[in-house]
Amino acid sequence: MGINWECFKNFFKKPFTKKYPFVKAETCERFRGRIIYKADLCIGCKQCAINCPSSAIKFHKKGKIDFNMGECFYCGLCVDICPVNAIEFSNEFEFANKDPRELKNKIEHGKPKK
Amino acid sequence: MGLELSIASIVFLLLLVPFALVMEGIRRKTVARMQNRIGPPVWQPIYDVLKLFQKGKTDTLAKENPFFWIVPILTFLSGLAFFLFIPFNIISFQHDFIFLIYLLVLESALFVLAGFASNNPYSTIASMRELILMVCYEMIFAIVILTVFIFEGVLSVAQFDSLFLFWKLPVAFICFMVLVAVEIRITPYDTVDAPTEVLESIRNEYSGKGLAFLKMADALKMTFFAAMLLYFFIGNFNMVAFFVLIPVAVMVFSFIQATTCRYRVDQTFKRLAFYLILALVEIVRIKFIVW
Repeated sequence: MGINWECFKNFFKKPFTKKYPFVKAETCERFRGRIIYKADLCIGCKQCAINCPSSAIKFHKKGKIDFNMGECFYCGLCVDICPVNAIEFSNEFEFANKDPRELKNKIEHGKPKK
Repeated sequence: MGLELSIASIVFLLLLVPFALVMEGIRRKTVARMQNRIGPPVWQPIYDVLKLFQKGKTDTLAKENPFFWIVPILTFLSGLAFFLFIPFNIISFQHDFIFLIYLLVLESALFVLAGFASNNPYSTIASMRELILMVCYEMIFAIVILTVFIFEGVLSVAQFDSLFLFWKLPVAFICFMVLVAVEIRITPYDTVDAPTEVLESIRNEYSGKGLAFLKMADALKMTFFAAMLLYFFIGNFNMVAFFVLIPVAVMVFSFIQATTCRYRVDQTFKRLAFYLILALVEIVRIKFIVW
């Protein structure tokens, strides 16, 4: 008979389902989302590009690195290896887009120096 | 014999199909809410039927059988014909409750025929199950209806006028609630519509207009049983109260559906045999013991 009372209670409760596109989903701690590159911290050691298993990172010069998020599989090696923590994971996970250039790197803390 | 086809009754019959589909939507929504889901919108069955009417026929071997496309239409029409009696009494004549019982048998028989005509193994199994079940439940249904009419001492549905009959005929009321579950095929007795056993039961091969007609017939049947429950056992109120109380009755059915699980086929038959005995006890009881 417990199920009857449970169903009756559920009828007046809010549904468990989250309305995702309208209500943004919460990410957990240490979530592996889109990679953020802080160009002003970078010392140009190239460790990230060397260690990347899927070669999603193209190193041009200090402060100018291409992250192709279409090839990245979020192993976190570049984040771990970076000696100055210039590369970080963010909470952003919804970057489906019609333009493939949107999948390229996202630079914070100033523009890359030429 | 009286046939009262006024404008009001024609409008009522026309508005009945969307009303029944909304009732189906309310059923689905209520079950979903009781299972802590959001569920489809209440208008979803109307969208489904409108979409299905725009679709073409699928290319199955069964379409060569004329019964395959004519039976869904007949099922739908027999579903509409229920509402000639309740709640408006558009047709009324002496002993018309026997005709009502025949109509309900006809609807189930057409359902069975639709399954056999679609020439699908799963549909055939579903049709066979319905055919065997019909032998059990239509008999109980006829006995319950006879009990109600003998107790009231009337000969026509239109003359029927009593309040809270479920208090005076409790066993018949329990039998009727079980019959509702069997007839509209909700969980404790959905041996025919069991999706894990016979997939979509008789609707496996149907698509487009045929499926739309079958869906509408099912919704009409469910609404009719809610209406009949109110008319016979709760009371013959005015129309406004009737259309407010039908969704409540549908919610009661949804509650039964949400809280129970399916009986096996043999368990269903054993229980139906038990309820047949109960119904017989009730029809004998009202002759001798009345409270």
